[in-house]
Amino acid sequence: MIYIDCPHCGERNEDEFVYGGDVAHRRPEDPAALSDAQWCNYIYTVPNTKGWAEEHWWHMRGCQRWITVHRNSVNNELQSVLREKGND
Amino acid sequence: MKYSALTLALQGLRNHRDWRPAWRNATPKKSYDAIIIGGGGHGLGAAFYLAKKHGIRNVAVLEKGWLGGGNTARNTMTIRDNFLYPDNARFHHAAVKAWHSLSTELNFNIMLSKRGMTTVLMSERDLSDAQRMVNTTALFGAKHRIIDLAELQRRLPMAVSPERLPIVGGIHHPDVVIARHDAIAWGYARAASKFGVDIVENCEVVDIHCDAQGVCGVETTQGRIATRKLGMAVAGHGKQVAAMAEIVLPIETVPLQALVSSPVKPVIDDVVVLRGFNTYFMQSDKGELVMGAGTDPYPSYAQRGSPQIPEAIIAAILQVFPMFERMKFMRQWAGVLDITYDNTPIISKTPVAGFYVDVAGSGGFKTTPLAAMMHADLIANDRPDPMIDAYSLDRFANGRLILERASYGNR
Ligand SMILES: Cc1cc2nc3c(=O)[nH]c(=O)nc-3n(C[C@H](O)[C@H](O)[C@H](O)COP(=O)(O)OP(=O)(O)OC[C@H]3O[C@@H](n4cnc5c(N)ncnc54)[C@H](O)[C@@H]3O)c2cc1C
Ligand SMILES: [Zn+2]
Repeated sequence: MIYIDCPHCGERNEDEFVYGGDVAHRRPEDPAALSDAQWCNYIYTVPNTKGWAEEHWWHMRGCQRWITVHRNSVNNELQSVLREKGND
Repeated sequence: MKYSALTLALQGLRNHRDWRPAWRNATPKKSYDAIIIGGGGHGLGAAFYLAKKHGIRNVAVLEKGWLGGGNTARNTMTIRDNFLYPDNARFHHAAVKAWHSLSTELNFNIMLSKRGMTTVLMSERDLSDAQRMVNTTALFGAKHRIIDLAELQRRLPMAVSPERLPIVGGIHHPDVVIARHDAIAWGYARAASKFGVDIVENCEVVDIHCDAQGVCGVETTQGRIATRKLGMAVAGHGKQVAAMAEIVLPIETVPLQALVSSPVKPVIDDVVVLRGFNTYFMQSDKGELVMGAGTDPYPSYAQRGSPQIPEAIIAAILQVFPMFERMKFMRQWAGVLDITYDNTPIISKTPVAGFYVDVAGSGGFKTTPLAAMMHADLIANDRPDPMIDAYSLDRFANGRLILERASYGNR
């Protein structure tokens, strides 16, 4: 069980949250300017980092806000849990 | 040493003093005609078929840990072919068949057991989906069959009565088999080793070298090894290993869990799938109930999994089979799967000449012999067999995905 310290609600069990993807996996600014290969890469390929990564999580069964969690995917250790801009 | 009843009897008379290791533990040579990364069932199988079917025997399998320590020894052994889409239906039907002669071919008892599988359906919608799956797979020779409530109750007499849950019927899958998972790794390793294949444990591939012609070797924790043909079967680590050759694979590494109860006397023959709960279980030869469900809710390389999953699995099974309420939960574990966007395998060439990948895509124990055979064929001939045309890496770019979300039952 991961305990996520929501900056709005405090520490809660992981099953209150929904994983929302790697922060580094951003929608391209101008999709029309991409080649097919680049677009395909964005659609089907996630970073799938082994180690530390910043991730979006949604506190679905709590404050319902999006937060940024710094997690190590090797052992599920957490470093920081931060508010997201526009979501505080 | 050939394994047989006679060998066993003779060894017995000699107090079992003369058994020899099943395979040679090799130290790597400077170069090979082909190298396979990953010593699970898929990788060891590919090496075996390279040696046996294609006469390529100067081959090494490089495994970073011990043989079969990955998903091969962590899975719940269900071998089934209830897939909805034609390419998958054809491949998995052939994949199930490929298991049948394996014990004889490898001279190793893989403990194949024809259990059959019963899927419990809990809504009219499930029932009509099931009818569609049964009809589709029949085109490829599969024998799934819709069963009514009366037959479902005959097969699973210990399930609750349909007055308590909206059980509307079921599917019987007579051809579903299970096999001893580790035996696959050991059987392939032993048979490949006999052909001269080098099996190298504790040897992690840390880089892939390429030149103008394509792959030219690998860097490992036991030094540099040259090769022009490189196959990859590393399950959840596919992304990292392929990236060493600058290939981007569309996979995500997600844990899948299983758990077992303490062992009891035989109570159930079938693999049971509770479709509405996305849960399944069976009884192992040792007597434990082996239970599983879908993948964990977020990607991770930690081979342990989140506790809410076992909780949900147990809750689901107890709703339908309250008689198991007093059983003791013994242990739980997870393996990390290589999930593709369309839950379907990738067995393919890559843009780097001489580099081939075998990605399970979802639950790939069932596909082990056929995928390994196809991977070996691809490595030997540098072109895909028509059976795996649909599993090419470029399907993501050209839009030919096989959206097997409707994959029936368990992993
Ligand atoms: C709990 C659970 C239940 C499952 N149930 C089923 C089921 O009922 N039916 C079904 O069909 N499938 C099931 N599966 C899926 C199935 O187990 C896998 O898809 C299949 O076993 C994969 O086999 P493999 O040989 O490709 O991978 P693995 O057995 O994982 O082998 C890959 C090997 O590669 C090695 N490796 C990784 N990186 C490197 C490197 N850099 N260098 C060298 N070696 C490396 C690893 O150590 C590992 O031993 C289940 C999986 C799990 C975890
Ligand atoms: Zn919150």
